[in-house]
Amino acid sequence: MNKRKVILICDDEEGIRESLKLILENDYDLVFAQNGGEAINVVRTTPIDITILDIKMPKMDGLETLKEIMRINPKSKVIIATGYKSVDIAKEAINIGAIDYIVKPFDSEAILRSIEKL
Amino acid sequence: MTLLSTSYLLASIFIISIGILVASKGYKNPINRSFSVVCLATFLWLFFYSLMLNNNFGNGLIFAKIGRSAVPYIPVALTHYTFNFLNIKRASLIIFFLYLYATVMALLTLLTPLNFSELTKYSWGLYPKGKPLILFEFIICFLITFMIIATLLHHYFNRKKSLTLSELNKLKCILVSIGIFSFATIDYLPKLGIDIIPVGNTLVIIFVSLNAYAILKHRMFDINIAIRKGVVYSLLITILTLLYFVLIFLLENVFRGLVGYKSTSLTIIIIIFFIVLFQPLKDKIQFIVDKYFFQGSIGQIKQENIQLLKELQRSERLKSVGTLAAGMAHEIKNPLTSIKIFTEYLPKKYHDKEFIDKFERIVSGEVKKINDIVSQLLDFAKPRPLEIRESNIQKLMDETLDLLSSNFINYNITMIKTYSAITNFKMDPTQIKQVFLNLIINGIESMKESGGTLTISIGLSDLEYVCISIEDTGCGISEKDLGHIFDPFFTTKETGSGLGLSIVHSIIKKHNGKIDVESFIGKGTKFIVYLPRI
Repeated sequence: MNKRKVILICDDEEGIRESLKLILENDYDLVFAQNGGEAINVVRTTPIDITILDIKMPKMDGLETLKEIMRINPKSKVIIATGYKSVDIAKEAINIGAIDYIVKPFDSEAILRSIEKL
Repeated sequence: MTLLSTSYLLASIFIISIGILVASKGYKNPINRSFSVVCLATFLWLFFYSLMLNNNFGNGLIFAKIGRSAVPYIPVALTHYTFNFLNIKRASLIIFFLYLYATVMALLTLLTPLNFSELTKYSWGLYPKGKPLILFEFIICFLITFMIIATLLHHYFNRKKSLTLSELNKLKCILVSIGIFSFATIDYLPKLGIDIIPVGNTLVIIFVSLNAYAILKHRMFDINIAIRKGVVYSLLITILTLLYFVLIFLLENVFRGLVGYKSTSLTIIIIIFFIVLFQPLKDKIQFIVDKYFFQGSIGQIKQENIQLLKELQRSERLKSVGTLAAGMAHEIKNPLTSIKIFTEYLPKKYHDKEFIDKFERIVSGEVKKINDIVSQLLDFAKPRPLEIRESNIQKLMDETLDLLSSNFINYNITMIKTYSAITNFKMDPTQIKQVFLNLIINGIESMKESGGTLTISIGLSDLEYVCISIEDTGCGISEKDLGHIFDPFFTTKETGSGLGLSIVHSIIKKHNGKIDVESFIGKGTKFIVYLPRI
């Protein structure tokens, strides 16, 4: 039997964390972080296969968090999830090292498709 | 000096003065900088040509070479100036190669006979006798000028509807001035053996005058009215003062010639006479310069100020609407995502009690969030009109503090109040209370973790304004964020819509007041509100 992948969900909104939990809990092991700082601590201490990261978060935003995650582990697979439909942000995230970019409001299909691609 | 060489000299002095003026008022601005480079290159061309036109064949050739070596830089610097003005980015490589071309051409002109090696004598003066390289330079100059005008026209027709009146005027001004300046390429013709009087100097004056007009009338380089007051008048007054000294000196000499000896007392009398005369004369000059040279009548100045203010308000409003729309879209997308996912799973998990509990909690919470955002947005976008009445500001502050008193105890916050005696004045008490509430909550939030001191003072800043300062010793706001705190939806907090401070700003603006903020990371933040005593 294949080992279940571990997904880190980093979003300051409880609703988003719970929604992603609904979509992913059957097939993946989930770890949650409410902000960039928490996400970085998790990445430092726990082996993470995929990270789903919100862009707009207080204190440390998603792009800064992404930079730090890529610094800790340059092979990290990070999917950015955001409400901004901005090509510039997507480009910046991809340049930093994100693997995919999902625009809110997403549906379960979009999330699963993006993760299964990896 | 011939008439033509004098006109070249005067034009060169004129253009370098404008170039220095523009550079001194904003050298860091790329528009100012590139315009000054245009002025510098044009000055070198005109100045050395004025010497050449008036000189013998030997020295004339040296002056012609120096003057000519600056010419390739003119269309290049004009391109740079136009690109900066139109905010065209990603053109740095083109600009680099254009400057490289100009430098190569300048060196070829200075060091080799490829461009020209002798002067021709025309009826109006000496002029370089061009060689094939000058034809090449002429073609390149023509192409560059064509490109500049095409770019400007393209921007003019494409952005016509999105530009404000002031921006459109600037664009028109620069388009016309460069269009006229481009005719200076006619000056290549005498070099190619065609006997035509060079007109570049006249066109330069028109180009610079139009740009100077744009600077002063349409604030093209963000140089405001202070230039007039500061530079033009000081120059005039300096000239006037020098004239006085010359006059005093002459009168003294005349007197000495008539009477036969020098009189100190007469000198003093003359000086006093001029001092008395000086102020009204200065005022008269100022009035004449204002009326005929810069702005027209006082009525026109007022009219223009009203128009500028309207444009400013319109652009600020549009900017706010854009920021609001972007912020609102983002804020609403989060709760929408949760609602979407939870409703998607509802048919599958209808019998799962844990899911239904979460559904109730999260979905109703998210709906409330959307409702709050929309309500706050409506408050911000369509704020209710001011209900002005005489109120006591200290009383309003005390009422606000009472509302929040439990927070001070809970978060270990000490409060210091300093009220100086102020009579009641007219304001909208409910909205001012909202301002205090938002600012104090901000202070409390920043001191939530480790407590601190909230210092509130109310006093008079001057006869017209009441000054209210709210200072905390909390975490402070970073320099990067400080410029955005009044932007709608900007927040650094875990919770909060980011509309609080923009509402504060909007209310204060409606009262014709202003708000300042000082903040240092780790030390705290101080908001100072100034309200007019209407």
